[in-house]
Amino acid sequence: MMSFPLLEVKDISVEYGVDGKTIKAVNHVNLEINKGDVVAIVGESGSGKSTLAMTFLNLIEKPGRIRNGKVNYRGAKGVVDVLRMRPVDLMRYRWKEVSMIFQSAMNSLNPVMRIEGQLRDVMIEHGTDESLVDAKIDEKLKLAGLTTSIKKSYPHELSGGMKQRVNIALALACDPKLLIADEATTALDVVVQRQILTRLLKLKQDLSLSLVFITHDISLVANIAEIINVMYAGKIVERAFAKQLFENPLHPYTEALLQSIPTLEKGTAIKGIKGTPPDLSKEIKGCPFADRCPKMFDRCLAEPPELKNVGDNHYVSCHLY
Amino acid sequence: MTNVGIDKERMEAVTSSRPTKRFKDFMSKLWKHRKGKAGLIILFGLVIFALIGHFAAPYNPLANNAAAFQPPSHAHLLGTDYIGQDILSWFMVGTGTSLVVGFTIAILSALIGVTVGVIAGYFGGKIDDVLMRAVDVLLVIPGFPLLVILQTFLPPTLETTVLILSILGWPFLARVIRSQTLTLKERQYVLASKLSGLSGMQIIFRDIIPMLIPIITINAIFIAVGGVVAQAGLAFFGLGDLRSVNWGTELYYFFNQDGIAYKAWWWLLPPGIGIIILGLGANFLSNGIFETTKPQKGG
Amino acid sequence: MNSIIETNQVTKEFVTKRGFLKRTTSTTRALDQVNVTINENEIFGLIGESGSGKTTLGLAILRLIDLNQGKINFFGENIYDLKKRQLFNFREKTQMIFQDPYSSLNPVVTIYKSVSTPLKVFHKEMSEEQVVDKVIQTLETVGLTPADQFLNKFPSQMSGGQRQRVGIARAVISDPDFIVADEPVSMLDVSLRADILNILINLKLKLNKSMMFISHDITVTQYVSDRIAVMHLGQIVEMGESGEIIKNPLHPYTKTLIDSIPVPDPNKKWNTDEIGGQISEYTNEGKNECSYANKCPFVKDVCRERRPDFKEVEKNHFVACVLYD
Repeated sequence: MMSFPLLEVKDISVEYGVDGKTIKAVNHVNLEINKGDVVAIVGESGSGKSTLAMTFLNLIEKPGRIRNGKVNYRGAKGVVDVLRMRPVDLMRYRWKEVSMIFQSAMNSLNPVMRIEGQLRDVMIEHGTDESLVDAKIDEKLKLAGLTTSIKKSYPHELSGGMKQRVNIALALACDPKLLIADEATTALDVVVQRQILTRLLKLKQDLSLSLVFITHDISLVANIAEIINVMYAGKIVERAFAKQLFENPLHPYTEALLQSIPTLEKGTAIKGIKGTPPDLSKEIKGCPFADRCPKMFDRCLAEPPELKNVGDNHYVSCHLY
Repeated sequence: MTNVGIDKERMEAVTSSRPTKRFKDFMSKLWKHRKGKAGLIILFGLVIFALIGHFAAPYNPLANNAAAFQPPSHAHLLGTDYIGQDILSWFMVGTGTSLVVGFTIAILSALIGVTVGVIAGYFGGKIDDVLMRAVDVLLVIPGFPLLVILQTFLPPTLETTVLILSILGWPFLARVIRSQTLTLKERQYVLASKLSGLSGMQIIFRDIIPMLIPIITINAIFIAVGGVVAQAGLAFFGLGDLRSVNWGTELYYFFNQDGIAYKAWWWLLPPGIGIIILGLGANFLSNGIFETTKPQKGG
Repeated sequence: MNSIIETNQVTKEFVTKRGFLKRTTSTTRALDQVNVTINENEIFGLIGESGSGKTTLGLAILRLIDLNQGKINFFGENIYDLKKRQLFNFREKTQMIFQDPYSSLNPVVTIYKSVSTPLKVFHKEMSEEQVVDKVIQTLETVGLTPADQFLNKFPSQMSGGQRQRVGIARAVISDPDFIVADEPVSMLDVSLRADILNILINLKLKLNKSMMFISHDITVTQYVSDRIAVMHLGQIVEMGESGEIIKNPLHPYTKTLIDSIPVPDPNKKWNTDEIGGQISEYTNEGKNECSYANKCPFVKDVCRERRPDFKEVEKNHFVACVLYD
């Protein structure tokens, strides 16, 4: 944790302009990812977790726009702000430094091109020496847990899990330092999900990758992530090491979220969180969770809480602390 | 559980008719859409023009008491034709006839097309096979030659023309409606309606047809324009009822009664421009309907 | 305990045509000789991966598809023998809760109209006032309070969780005996799932409904279910009390499934060893072998020679695997 972070998100805000309204999807978020970290960003739909991840790659497109903030990446040539990169550098950055696997990526492979060709295109586009490409294709497929014979296949010949592995191979094509998985296994069956995630963890070990998992499934991150960020209504409300977060959740939202998921133990009753997330197109004066929070008091409605360290790198944004 | 008494207000609220409100919402949306608004204004303008012609045309279009081939003047704003009939009056009354022709063809074609399409799509199986083969047959026959043949053998009245055009107008719509129905019937709420005990026809009227209204309207608009043009085309070839006053017969007389020789451009332009304006208005309107009713993402 | 649903050797095949002039056909068995019994006042969980045939079984039990073979008894009577009038009565007694809260409500029909339809069809004797009363009562049962506010809303004016409650209200309003809930929470946010699950449990506890709960999520299923059946490629491979299935899974497939479930416990970090053999897609073509043989780490020659019997290995715990012969 002491070293300079690999990726540092500073005070980033993202807005979407839809139907004349401005939706504040991400609201003044700070985040650091260090070399070798496995970081999870957990949140429900509309929490802004995917939008936040898109800023890492400067992928926000109309009608969205980045209101303010920086995404500092520490590359070979020192620290650069991803949001202010020239397009040509950005293209290099997106595969060679940071790459991303999406949930929908499974269906985004080119249907009329063999797997091999798709990998080759990416590699050559990013300046891989042509004589090395064949060996690298085999290497990446093996890394993703696939037999090299599938490189002659077309996407429709593969199962969902295999296609997602091809996407891992694609994401690894240019040896990135950081891999972001945005709900990458949500559409897959549990057994395949586990296989893919353990494969990613193994890659992290073998290639000293940093990993960021974006997911709605808080149970899942317990099994894979070291540092967990909980997002709610465009803000990170709690950040802690996995062990701390699950054993001692501080934010009432995290606590309620953990109480709302069933476990394999019979007999523990679960309860949902009352109400709905706030309308992000409206100005929120206090804490965004205030009107659903069982521990709400006057101050929560008046001023927004700051994300602060309450000891042992356990951050929480709540007036109780 | 609280036992709530029923007050009148609430009963009215749940039983009051909603479609009118939806129609209003839709119209106000369309009015805000640039092309939609333009289309509405153009088509509405044509209708007003035709109505004025029906009730207050300056002359009887069939009265031939002026000099022939007069260029536009104060007395005859669009001049006169080969036997001294007032062209403006002819055009105004003719607009009415042409619009009624187009509208009737659209309604009849839509009725047949929607019925066939929805039934084939929803019930599937043998019914689908039979109906769609019929559609295929009608679609592969070259339309205009068939029109010409039919019109030649049937009595030359405007009604037969409308009927023939209606019968030839629906097959394409039926295909579109059928494929939409195939998608719609897979929606879970259709299954939910089935489980609620509703019959096939009830489901069609509740879960299928309301969703098809925009697409039916758009297609009907094009059928109407196509109908007007086809009728004009037939009349141009001297087929159908040539005593009827409409855009087509106006063109027919222009070409057959020395309009070209006299360079009577004032005679040719009105029906031509009328058809262009109608097509333009129809295009704008259907574009507006399409864009204001296409499904939006998310909830 | 009395059984409400009993399936007997239920088999459903789907034929796909391919190739030039569609002359090559291949048959996939979505349901392969399924025998399950669902008891009165019980929530019966059915788990399986996508493509395992679990939804097909749900549809078959409600007679929404035709079978190739087998019969399904509802209170002892084969529903596939019902004539029109009897089928109408059967429809009144059975209902379904859907997965997708966005597609299961007609967007141009008000909540009142959607929910009241089963009443208006099955209870024509009720007056409009009675119907309104019953709709309000039912909406309140599923937690949509104050119900008045929702009557005139359209689905687009409600959140996913609220829509799902409307779906449940529509399913229970005509007082059915048996409900199929097909992945009712899989499309909802985590924090909203709990309330929906608790409503389903209360339907059993307070209104004595019987239910088949279909899901790919074992944690959720065991939370609501009394018994669980595990489906794999159209076959039931294991069935038993839900606590028993979780604690003591017998079939190798069930074991793999349970091992793969994420558990909210940071002390159970996944190690980087991969589990459960190869991933690739198989379909059930009705061969005379164990459906799991291609993936099973314990596969023996005998697994490919015949189908394992589905037998009671422990009390009320059934499994189809040669390891327990």
